[in-house]
Amino acid sequence: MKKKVLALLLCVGLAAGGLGGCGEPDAPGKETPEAESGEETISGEVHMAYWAIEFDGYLNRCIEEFNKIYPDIKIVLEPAAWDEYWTKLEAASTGGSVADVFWMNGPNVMKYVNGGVMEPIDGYLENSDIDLNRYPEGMVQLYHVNGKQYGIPFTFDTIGVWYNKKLFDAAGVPYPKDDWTWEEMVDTARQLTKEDKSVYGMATQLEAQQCYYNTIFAMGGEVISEDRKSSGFDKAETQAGIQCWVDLQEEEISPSLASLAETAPDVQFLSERVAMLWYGSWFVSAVEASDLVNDVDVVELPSMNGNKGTVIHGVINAISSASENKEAAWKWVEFLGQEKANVICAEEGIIPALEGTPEKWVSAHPQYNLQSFITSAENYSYAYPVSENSAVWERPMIENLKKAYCLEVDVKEACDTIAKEMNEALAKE
Amino acid sequence: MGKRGKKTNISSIKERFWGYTMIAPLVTGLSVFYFYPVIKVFFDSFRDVGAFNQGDWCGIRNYQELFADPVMWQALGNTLKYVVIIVPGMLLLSLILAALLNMNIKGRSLFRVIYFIPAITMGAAVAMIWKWIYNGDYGILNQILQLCGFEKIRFLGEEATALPAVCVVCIWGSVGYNMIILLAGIQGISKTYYEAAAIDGAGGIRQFFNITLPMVTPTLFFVLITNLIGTFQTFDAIYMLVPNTSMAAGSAQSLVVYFYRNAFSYSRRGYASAIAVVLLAIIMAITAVQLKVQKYWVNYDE
Repeated sequence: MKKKVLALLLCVGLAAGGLGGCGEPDAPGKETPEAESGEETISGEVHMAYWAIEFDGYLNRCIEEFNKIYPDIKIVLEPAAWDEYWTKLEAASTGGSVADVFWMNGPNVMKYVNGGVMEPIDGYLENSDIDLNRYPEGMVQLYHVNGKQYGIPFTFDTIGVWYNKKLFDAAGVPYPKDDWTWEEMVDTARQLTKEDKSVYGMATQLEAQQCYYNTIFAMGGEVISEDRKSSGFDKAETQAGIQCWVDLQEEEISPSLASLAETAPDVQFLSERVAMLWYGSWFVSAVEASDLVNDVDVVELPSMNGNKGTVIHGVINAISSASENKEAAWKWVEFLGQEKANVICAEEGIIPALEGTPEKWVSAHPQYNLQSFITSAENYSYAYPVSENSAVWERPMIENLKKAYCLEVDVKEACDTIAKEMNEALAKE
Repeated sequence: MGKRGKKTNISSIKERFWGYTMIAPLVTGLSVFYFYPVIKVFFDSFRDVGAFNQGDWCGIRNYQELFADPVMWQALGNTLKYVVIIVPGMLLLSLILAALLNMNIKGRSLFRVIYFIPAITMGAAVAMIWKWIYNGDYGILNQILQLCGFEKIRFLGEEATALPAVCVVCIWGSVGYNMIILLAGIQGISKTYYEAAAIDGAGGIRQFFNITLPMVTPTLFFVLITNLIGTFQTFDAIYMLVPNTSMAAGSAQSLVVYFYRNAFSYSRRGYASAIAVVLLAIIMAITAVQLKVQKYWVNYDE
């Protein structure tokens, strides 16, 4: 009998807990009327979803600072791996249990805006001291959809060539300089590749943002037309930006595509199997946490026929339109856009977006040539190519390029197929 | 049979009430988590559902597209390959192991535990370990191959080897569990048969084929059906071992993995629902055939 009563109580408790779980947290000190400026009475739990575990240090420091201002807002971090992040986010958005604040990137922003998942922040911005003019214009525009602003960029990134100085020294090859050319890079890679293939000069990754988008831009091509209505893959310049990578496939100066698919390129770089790696500015924190902390440096991407190009991209903190605690969520988003969080960001190895703070990022890590990322962002950066539903054409793009990289079909044929499928997809948007 | 009674008496109503109350939790659970999704998937397969459940009716377009989709046919072919390799391989191995572990050998319980361990280990963890074993650059299997003077094989990265490599993991993972079930079946066989056979002079092998095997067929049938269905739904090992970025992704992808990618990676839930319906139809058809055919080989005699 006792057991029965206990079970009943438990059930009732569970049910009640389930019902009340999403409501306001019953913080015992909540009702203390000592708050001075009104703002500080905001309380509640704000869940935050993001995809890069290496940003934990930055976020935890931000939470600490944030709680000094808003002690009653509890930030709960929900990290996910990149591959699973979008799957989880979409499922959670559909089910209505998405985090209050979540990271959003360029390729997905239109999809989430059209899905009604993101809350516009224009109203909040009016009463805030955040000035959007102090953030990179391209980044702000990327998240300005249908006349509404959906977030404040807190970081941006460009691409550079990271290299392992130890492997250069061992091979007796001079370090690359910011004004090097593609041909020089290939030549360097040849010299760095060991005969027994225990070290490769570089990694010919099948990666859009890190690799072929950059060469497409440097060659004067485009991925998608400016009006986002047609594909750029049928242009000769675009195809030249792909061809340069495919040309390297036969050379054996890079681990095979199969190897790169199995063991990620950045892992191979940090295991000293690959001497040069095209990779983003976000790599700083991973490098600093590795054994190679003092043996690595970075240069600008090489020029191709005298031109350079790099993809610039940035991430925002979006507020969920289903959030029950938007006020607190906004306070957190606002904080992450302000000076203090941007400086923490710089110190933790990620380029902050706020005007004047990227320089702090450069000076906080003087051992690396990080100025190269700022130079490239200012002088030859191109916005990450997106359309309303990028995922629909990105899939055939990758599938067909895979065939070209494996030398199954030639580049022209692969690119023409991509252009055709992409134009069909864009016509439906 | 109670039809003829003029009134249902009180005690029968009470009985019914308690009957339904008792099964209510299970029925509710099944309805919410099984029946409702099945119906929903069936409806969605006729809708063009995209991200965030937005969508319209589109008739049989999903099915038309499905049958014209070469990737779907490849995934279906792969699924059949998985079934043809995994199910017999697993049945044979677990039957042999069960028979061996039923004998009087030293450390019998220890072996039983060891073979059962994969069954209680999380699928994802198992896959992670195997991923490293198979790794083309650093994997232990390739180190051994090289020591023996063979070329490296990129097991999970090449179209020819990815599918068999996944099969090995699946068999390895399920042998222990099925072995325990078969072992229970074998132990249920009356000792008198063996005693009689021994008196007649039958040896161990003869006893196995003429007594153990026919007598264990009901258990074998159960194991066959559950594993056939389970293998048609193979997902976790493939998803973990051969990710979408792999060169062999297309040639190792099963129907359920393709379903998952459509539903959750490509946001094509309507199309994914159609795949699920087709898979359900295939599994039901094969199970129906199994139930019909069983009378020719399953021995239910006491």
